[in-house]
Amino acid sequence: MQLWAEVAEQDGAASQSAMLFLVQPSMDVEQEVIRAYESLRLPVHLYLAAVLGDTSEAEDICQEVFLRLFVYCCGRGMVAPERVRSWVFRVGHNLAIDRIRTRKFRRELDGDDPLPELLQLPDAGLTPEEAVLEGERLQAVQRRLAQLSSQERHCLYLRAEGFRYREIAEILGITRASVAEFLRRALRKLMRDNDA
Amino acid sequence: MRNLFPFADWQGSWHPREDDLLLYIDGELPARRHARIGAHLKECWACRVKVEKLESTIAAFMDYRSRASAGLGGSTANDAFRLRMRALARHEGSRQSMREFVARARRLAGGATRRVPAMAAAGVLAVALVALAWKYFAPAPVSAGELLANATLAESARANDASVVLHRSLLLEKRRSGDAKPVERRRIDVWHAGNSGMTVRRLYDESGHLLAAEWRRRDGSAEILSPQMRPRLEARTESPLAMLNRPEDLWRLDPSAASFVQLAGDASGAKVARQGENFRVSLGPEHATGHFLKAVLTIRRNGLRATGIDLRLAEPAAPPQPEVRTQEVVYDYSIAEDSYQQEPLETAQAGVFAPDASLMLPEQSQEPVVTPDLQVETTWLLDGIGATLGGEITVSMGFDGRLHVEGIVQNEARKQEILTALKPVRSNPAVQIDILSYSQALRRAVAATHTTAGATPGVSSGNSNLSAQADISEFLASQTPPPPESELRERVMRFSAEISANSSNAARHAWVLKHLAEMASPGSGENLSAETRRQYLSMVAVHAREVEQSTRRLKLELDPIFFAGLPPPGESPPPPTELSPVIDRLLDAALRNDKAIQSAFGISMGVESPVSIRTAEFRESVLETEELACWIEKQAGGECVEPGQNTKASP
Ligand SMILES: [Zn+2]
Repeated sequence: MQLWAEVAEQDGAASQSAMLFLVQPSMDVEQEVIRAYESLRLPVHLYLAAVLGDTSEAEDICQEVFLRLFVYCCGRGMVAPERVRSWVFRVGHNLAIDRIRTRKFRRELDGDDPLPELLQLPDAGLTPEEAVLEGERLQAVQRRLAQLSSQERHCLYLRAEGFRYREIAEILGITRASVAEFLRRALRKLMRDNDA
Repeated sequence: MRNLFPFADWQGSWHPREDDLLLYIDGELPARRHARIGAHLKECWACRVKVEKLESTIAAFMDYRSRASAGLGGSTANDAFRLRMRALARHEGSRQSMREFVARARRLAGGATRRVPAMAAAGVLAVALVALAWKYFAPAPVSAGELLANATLAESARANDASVVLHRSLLLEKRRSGDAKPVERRRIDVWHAGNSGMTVRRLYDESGHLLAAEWRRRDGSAEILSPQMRPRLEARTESPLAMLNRPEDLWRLDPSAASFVQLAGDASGAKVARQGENFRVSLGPEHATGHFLKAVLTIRRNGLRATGIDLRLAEPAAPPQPEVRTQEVVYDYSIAEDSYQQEPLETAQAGVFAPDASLMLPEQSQEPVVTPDLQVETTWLLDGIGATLGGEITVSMGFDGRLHVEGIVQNEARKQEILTALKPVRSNPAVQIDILSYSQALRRAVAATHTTAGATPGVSSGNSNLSAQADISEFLASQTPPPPESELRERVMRFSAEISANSSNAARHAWVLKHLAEMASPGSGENLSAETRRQYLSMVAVHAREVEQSTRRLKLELDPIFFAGLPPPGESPPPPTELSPVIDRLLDAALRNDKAIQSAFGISMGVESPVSIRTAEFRESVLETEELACWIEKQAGGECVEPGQNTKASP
């Protein structure tokens, strides 16, 4: 089976479909992927929403990521558990960036309005007074978040997931030093006395 | 003024830098520095307040983030995912029988246990043998899934054969269902290069006029040119199913097993019939969706190559009057192979992959005008092969009104890859491409320094002809405790590699700075919007910081081995005043250092004898690089502590 899986893999897009025929998913892999999905979907969804600024698009990509994990694992068995987390974030990040790229392109052609790049805040069931105070506080954070470059935002959200700098560097395909720099700038911009 | 004492906190005025504080609370510092800052925080209120501030900023963000995440994750997502997952895993049956067949075919091919790399000739051979086996030994009722899977493999083996160019000519006919006479006839000419993965598809009318063409890259992205419309780009292969909704795009559908599988979705329901030398795989009414009614794929038994596809589509008829209800007309399309050739790469006509002049929009062939489209497209092409990452290639407007695509890339192969990707815009007179491989750039720069300034200080052959590795080896062996003999060689290699990497990293980022400087010289700075200016400066700061940090690491690595015993460094050069010449100086210095390092470690490609880096001049040059980078970083709004105040004695 190895040969076939390899041929299919080399060929990329055209043989994605071939992969479906050629690989032999065991029930285990399917269960493992579903388990991984259930435990990681919220963090991945949140990160992708922060990257894309759109929660439903993020959900779509989030599912795509785990389906890819399934296809990926079919040929070679489940990814080691400790690698799954950074695998799904890396693949998710790349898919999201692809999506943004085509979106930008479509926007260029259609002249749509740019999409908001921030998460929407839900109602938290607070009393009106609380809501006002809370709202102001959160909006201040949101306002400062809007100042971040996309890379700064990516690093920040990944760090919030508990990734180490080395892992963030791997997910984003940048150096560890850049991760440190982006994080430093992100926090700098988020500091309260930074609202001019 | 450089500090003679390596430990600046000796004077009691040392505080950790802000980024070190963040690294500290994130636990990202090496143990010694961590301990040192921890000790300092015990003593210093001022720094503790800074840490507090970082922590409360983090807390505010985490609070915001958890509020935002409360809005995510509808319960339906889980079910939707499980459904998609099941659909994906449902091909169990066809796979099962396939496995048995493959095992048989591979025994036949004599490679039962061998693992064959896909691109290797052996892999192609194995696939060819399987394809041959299909001709003679195909199991009696053939399942569509198996057949399509094997045909897909045979297709990809042919498409990945780097030594040939595939050329096939197709006829496209459109008829009203039931009519014999076609209402439309087209010829499609397809070229595919196995080495680059590029596929060019040209559409001609009956009298041979070129109507449109498509360039599709290996990753599935495509560009479509046609005189009737502006160039169209697609980032991903469109599913054939989506193509069916635009029958005018059907010429782009490849008669292949791969696209048929995509069309079918779940191909296990397709029927297979043998007909002479061919298999015919058909999707009946149960697969019909939207306008799509029926499809038949013809696969030659010999070689398992798809040679044609027939489609039946219901298209809305153009109503004669607006109030008349739209009716559907059923059309039959047939795309059939007319000729098929494999040509050796060397003899294939060079021009077939180039864009056709007749498809270019008229305005593009006149004045060199840089449209926003062109700028985006160029960036998009580069982005497709990851060349915009980390500033490998920059795309900028030149003063000559042309779009400049410039960069220094790792090696010649990468350069060729980038030039190939840029093919669609290369012939555009508004695009100026200047890409050098790293060694080319180095040679060019070194040649320039030699002609202008004579011999370079660090590079002049010193009195020592000792190899740098020997010096490192000696140094490491003198450490207490000395490393075990067995590890010494490995450690020397690793240490050398680190030195070399730091040095070339500094040079690479100095190049990027140079390009940034050229992109927006001080004069044009006022034209930038505040936002762009901010972005620009932050890029400068990041790259300057990379130069500074790499050089600092380099210095710390070299210091105990090569600079020990040299007289103390002299006065710093006077502080610079203007950004652009400083960047020039920085680039000169970084390239000079790198050349010396690569030469001393025997890594350079030149034939010169190894030079000594155990000289005061070379150290001067390293220190200058660090200082200049630091100064640039500060000019761009970054934070950098003067090298002299932060130096430590050993790594
Ligand atoms: Zn302090």
